[in-house]
Amino acid sequence: MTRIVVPIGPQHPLLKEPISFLISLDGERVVNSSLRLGYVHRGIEKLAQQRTYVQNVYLIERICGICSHIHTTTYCQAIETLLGLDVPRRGLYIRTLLCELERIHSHLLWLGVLAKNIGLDTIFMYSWRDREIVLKMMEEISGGRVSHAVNIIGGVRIDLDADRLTMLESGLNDLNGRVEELIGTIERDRSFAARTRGIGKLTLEDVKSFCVVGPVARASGLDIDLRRDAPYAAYHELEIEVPVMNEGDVWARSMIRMREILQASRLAKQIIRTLPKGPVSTTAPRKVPPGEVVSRAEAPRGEVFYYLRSNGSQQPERLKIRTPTLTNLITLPEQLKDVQMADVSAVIAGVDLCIACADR
Amino acid sequence: MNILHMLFEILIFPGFAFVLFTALFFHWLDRKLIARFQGRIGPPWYQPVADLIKLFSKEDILPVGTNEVFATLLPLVSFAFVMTASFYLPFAVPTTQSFEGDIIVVIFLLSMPSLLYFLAGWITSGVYSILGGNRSLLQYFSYEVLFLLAISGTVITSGSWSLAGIRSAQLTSGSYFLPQLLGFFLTVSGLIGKLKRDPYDIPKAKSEMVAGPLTEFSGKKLGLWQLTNQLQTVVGLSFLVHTYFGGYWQMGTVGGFFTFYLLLILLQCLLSAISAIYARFRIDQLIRLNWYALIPLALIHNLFLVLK
Amino acid sequence: MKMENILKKLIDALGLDSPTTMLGIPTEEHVLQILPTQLLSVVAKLGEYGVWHLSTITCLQDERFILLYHFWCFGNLTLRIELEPDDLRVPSICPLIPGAEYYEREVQEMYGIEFQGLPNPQPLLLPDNWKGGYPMRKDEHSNSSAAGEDRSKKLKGGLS
Repeated sequence: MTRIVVPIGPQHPLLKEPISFLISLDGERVVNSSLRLGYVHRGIEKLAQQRTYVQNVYLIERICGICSHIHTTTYCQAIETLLGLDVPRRGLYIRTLLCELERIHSHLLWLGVLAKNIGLDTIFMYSWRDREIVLKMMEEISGGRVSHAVNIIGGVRIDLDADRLTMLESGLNDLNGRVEELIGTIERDRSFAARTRGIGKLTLEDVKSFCVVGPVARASGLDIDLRRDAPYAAYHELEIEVPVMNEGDVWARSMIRMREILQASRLAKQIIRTLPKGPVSTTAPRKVPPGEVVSRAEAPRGEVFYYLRSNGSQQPERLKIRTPTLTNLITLPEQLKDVQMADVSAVIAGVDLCIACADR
Repeated sequence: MNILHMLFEILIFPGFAFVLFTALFFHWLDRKLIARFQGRIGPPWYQPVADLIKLFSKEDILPVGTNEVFATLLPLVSFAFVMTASFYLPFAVPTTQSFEGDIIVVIFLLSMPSLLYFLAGWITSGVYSILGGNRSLLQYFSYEVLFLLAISGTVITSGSWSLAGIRSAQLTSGSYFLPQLLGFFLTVSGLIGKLKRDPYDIPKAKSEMVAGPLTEFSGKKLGLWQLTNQLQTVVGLSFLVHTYFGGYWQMGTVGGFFTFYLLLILLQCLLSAISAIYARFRIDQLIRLNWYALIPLALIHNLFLVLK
Repeated sequence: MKMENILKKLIDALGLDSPTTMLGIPTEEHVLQILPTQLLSVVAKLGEYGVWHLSTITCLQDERFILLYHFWCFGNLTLRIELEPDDLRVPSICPLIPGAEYYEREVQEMYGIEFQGLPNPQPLLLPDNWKGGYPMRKDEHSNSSAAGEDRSKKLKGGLS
């Protein structure tokens, strides 16, 4: 049997961002696959060494177009730790609120991408329509739909008045109803299950040995969530449930992400109800003392890792960024083994890739 | 005068121009309906025409290694096949003489474009085209059998191999739609495969095959392929109306015409709804569904009709 | 098992120096200084103790190159390795942690540190035909790479 090598990417309707897969087929079955990164490598780690700490906040925000806020959160909290700064609680709460809104936005976007890839355009349209609600909420409170520029070193830039809080609460209620409807649909829909169940399986051992993070790990039975296990921002004061499933396939990943949307909206409501009074930020000193700091946060896709080293000058000496996509990408060749060509799209979508994040 | 009248019938109404117009209208209807099902607004009514004009005025590029003669001939020939089929399925007024066995001719004419579609994948050198072509051939052997078996239910009941015979049998016995509901839905399933609509759009599955066999086509050729597909939809649907809703014939010429059109629109709604509801099948799922479930079902259905 | 206990057991088993700390969130990060030759045995031992999650590998450039292996498993641990200036080689930990592959490849292409036994040493982020040196090194500047120079020369040629 002759093998056909199918190139997917760097430009392909399946991919929203440039990455390149080479998939060897035996008939319709995938025998081998390899991938290549670097098409959107912008050298942000190097750039960050040439900019001041404050400028970097805005640079870091542009790593990702979906989870921009979590990057600045991780970066700002690293510097705040270095400075020994006490960020006001209200600031931390608002920061956390944005994190959760962003999680909702990211997961809804992901559901649309998966649905599109398995040819279920209706769910794609519905989930992106519902995503609009959360985008509008974020725009209303921060002025930006995806790049919010909310975080500053020492707190946040925006404050929420009573009107905004009511707006958020009613928006979240609206969203909740719609998301529950979406979950009901994809849980019951047999054609959705036929295209996602048993596909892209990862066992608990695979997940551990590949250091997988985020919903992909949780769908394989690994109970890990930094919001609960290493709380940052205001998470230690909030009640968090971590949904975990054992199937390890694309279906389990979708269910995990859908439940995380509901969980995130519960968290957001909790924050709105218990928002402490006081200032939202504190003045940060210009000079960052020399030192090293490690900062982690749970992005919608999993653990974001920042390592920051300061030598006492205006610019960071080294800023290492590791995004969850880079970690989860390693499992793709493993997951793609022996699947049907038609399932490649479901598998690739199931991991929830953010190539701009992985390339930096 | 007689010749002029015939020319008018062939070229304008209810012939060439009218069928083309109907095809474009139904394409718009399809897009609009799916858009509404998905909570979108959908395109304006002239969108299919605009698309067609755009494609026909675009530069025509073929990759190196493609047989240019075939690449030009294939869309033309498949367009011709579908166009010819449309003359056997009169819109209200019977223009062509119906003869015993013309239903076979129509089925043949409707299945040829699928084979040509496969060839279109085969003559171009792209990976997606070849894979998509293979898939379309695989798919061909499942839905085509189903379509034939399901449609023969009407032949068995009416005892005639001509469209006119099937129609007139329904005039006395009433339309076959209700008594043969199962057969009707099996035929619709086969038709969706024929038209390569979602959820049977496996050969041109965007997320992995780009555009399947048509990936390397552009400009006029692509426009012609798309027009063929749109025509095929209308012709296939009117085929369904003739075989399962033959009773419309008794409404007279004008009433019959409008009933016919209404039925076409209703059937288009059904197809659009199915497209919007289901996720795309995988090729193995499709073949399993067809050969293990639908085709045996069609056989049993036919057996039942024969014994009755 | 708590990270402190794991550390204690590890140090006792392999006879390492006592750990230092660096800042972290929400708790401090333990830093363990080891030699390149000890790396594989330390990582293997960590695996035995149930520390399996490697967050990433960071490379720093002081007078010497320093590699930081950031582990996380319900507690933080960083392994710190200082490399000799004339011997930029370190064993690859991919056989023990397959998930380390991309981190090692990235450090290898960005800093020119050779990971011995890396299963797939091709560049990860840089182009296949990259000849511009190691971009993250301090003596490399962002706009003086070979590729950049080539492009600017071409542009001038076109204009004159």
